[in-house]
Amino acid sequence: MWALLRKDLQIEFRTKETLASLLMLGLLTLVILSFAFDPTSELRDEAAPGALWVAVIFAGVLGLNRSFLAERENDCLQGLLLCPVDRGTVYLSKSPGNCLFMMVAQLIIVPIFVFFFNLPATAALGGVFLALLLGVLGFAAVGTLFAAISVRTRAREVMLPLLLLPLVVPIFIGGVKVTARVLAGKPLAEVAQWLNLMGGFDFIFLVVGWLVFEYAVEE
Amino acid sequence: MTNLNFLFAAYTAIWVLLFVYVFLLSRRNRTVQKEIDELRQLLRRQNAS
Amino acid sequence: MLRKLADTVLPFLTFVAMTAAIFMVFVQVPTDKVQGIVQRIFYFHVPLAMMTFAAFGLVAIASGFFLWRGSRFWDRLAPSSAEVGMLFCTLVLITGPIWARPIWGTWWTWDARLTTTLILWLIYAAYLMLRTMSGTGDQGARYAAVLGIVGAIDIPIINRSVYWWRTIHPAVLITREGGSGLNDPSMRLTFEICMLAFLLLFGWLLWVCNESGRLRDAAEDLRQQVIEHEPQR
Repeated sequence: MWALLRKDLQIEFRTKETLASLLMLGLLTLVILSFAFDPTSELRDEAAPGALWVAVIFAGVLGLNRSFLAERENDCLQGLLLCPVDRGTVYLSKSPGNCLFMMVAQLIIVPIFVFFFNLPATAALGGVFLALLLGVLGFAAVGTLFAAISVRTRAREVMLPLLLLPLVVPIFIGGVKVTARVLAGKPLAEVAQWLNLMGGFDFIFLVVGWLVFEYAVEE
Repeated sequence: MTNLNFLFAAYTAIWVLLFVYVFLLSRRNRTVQKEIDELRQLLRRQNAS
Repeated sequence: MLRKLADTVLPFLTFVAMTAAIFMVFVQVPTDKVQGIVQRIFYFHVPLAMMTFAAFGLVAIASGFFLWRGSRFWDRLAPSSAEVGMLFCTLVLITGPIWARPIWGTWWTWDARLTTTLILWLIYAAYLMLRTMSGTGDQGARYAAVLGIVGAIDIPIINRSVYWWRTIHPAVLITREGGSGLNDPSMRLTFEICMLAFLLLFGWLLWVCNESGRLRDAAEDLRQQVIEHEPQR
């Protein structure tokens, strides 16, 4: 599993394609969303956490699509499957890998988010990153499974958001809630139930994904 | 009483959608059944030749 | 054979139960004092809702068995259940707002149950699309089965998260209507009859839809046979 993960990371650092897509799409979404609000309106502050998470989710969907499409084009997945490795292990290397890529993109997106939405750069951001980590992990868990499925259907890129968005609603709601509270200066303890929910989501779907991934990639 | 209209709307919606679905299902079944009959005939002709 | 039985008895029972239900709802049951006659929508709305969740549960179970056993039977049952479930879900989402408008003054609220049902609808839609849009044969079935299982596991989580989303902020608290505050025994009887009627309706529609799948499979088999028997030209 670690070897597979390392391989994915190596490929990524050489081309940086997935990272670039995640970054640009996230940024563009933030910019577009900023246009949705009058810069002086109060609505902006309330909408900020939502905007961040919309950007994360959209960029994530497109990034996942891209990474699997590329693999499919180069028949990399075939190569992987020929390895004498349990399919579940392939999943366990891919999903944290995707999670990692998304988190690295967040390292840049979050500061930009702070600039755009005029937020105080306090320690609260640590809480935001925690929420992002939990959220992105869950997103990657479900996303990796369904991205593998989607790229093999006729509808290709369209299928993934269709499948993924309803399923990650708990992550999205939780993420926005935690981000909002944390940015409002509340302590993490207050959002413990959301963090638990997201953590539980992550665990459950990593396990389910691990069990079921082989059906997603069988020929 | 406009509330009656709401009641009517709800039950009409239920009836219309159920009816349309059953209609579509029966049409689907009829098409497939016809296909099966045609295929069976074809098979019989093949076996005879 | 069981098939003959289902083909004739099931629709008959459904008809009887539904007729009884309509009678109860429109003639027999007393009008609710608080909500007026619009409350009668409830007698169909709630059984519809219960059946759609049951349908999705069935999708998940059938999907699981299909992935485990691989028999066509489960792969016919799952999408049939999804189709009928989707129909019922659509009806829930139509009758709910029609009821809500006069009672709560608004077509839509983001309360936990309504929102979860909406997301359920979206997952059903994705399931059916996935089933039809996947490439060759078994693949589509397997993918859809995965979604069926993952979706079913997710629904309770979604429900809880939406519920918390709505109730943490007291300012926007919208108390879920009683709905199950059926005092009058005649009301309870009406509800039970409607529940039975919709259970039978679901069973019947599921049966017909499943038959459709079975016929389609039979046609496919025949087509294969014809192709094989084709003399070498």
